Amino acid sequence: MTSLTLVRRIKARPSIVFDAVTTAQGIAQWWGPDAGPVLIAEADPRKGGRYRVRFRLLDGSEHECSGEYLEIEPPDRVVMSWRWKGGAGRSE
Amino acid sequence: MVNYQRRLDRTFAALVDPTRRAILAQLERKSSATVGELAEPFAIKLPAVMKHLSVLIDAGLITRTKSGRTVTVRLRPQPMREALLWLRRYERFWGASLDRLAAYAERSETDRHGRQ
Repeated sequence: MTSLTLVRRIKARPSIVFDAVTTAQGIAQWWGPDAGPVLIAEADPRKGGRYRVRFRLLDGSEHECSGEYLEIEPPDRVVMSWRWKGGAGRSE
Repeated sequence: MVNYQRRLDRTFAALVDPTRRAILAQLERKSSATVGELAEPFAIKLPAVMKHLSVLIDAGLITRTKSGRTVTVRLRPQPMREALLWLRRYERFWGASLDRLAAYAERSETDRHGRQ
């Protein structure tokens, strides 16, 4: 599979970053490429659990993505599948 | 939407093969080439090269024009541009989102330290 790697060094404890990625309250704070609001955030962070996020961009368009937690090892690692609503395709 | 997905499938399927990528790279260096010229650098027979060319034609990555007995092939970069835009959509979304994640996590870390 073709891969794309993005790296960030974050000055925070792993548990804080992990919660930001895997809890509805956390996701609502940052998800999306601009300051537009997160409208729906649902997360069931266990192996096989699902998440769903709907957000609005500053241009007014709304987008939704969802997927499944494939691997989850708090607070170090999370692997999730990803799919845009309305689009085909799947990535991890 | 279906056509768009099918075009992407074809583009990526065409680009997966190293010989086909090498053919495209050759065409990038010169504006056009004959089938014979394209086949020259490869240790494979002409029919195999023709097969690769037909995959590239189906994907819209090259065009073929015939004049007399000479077939000339040219690069058609539009499908690659489309594939690139598709890749950039992910890069843009995740690039900006991860910056926001980092900012939020660092803010949370500072807040938590402040309270303790």
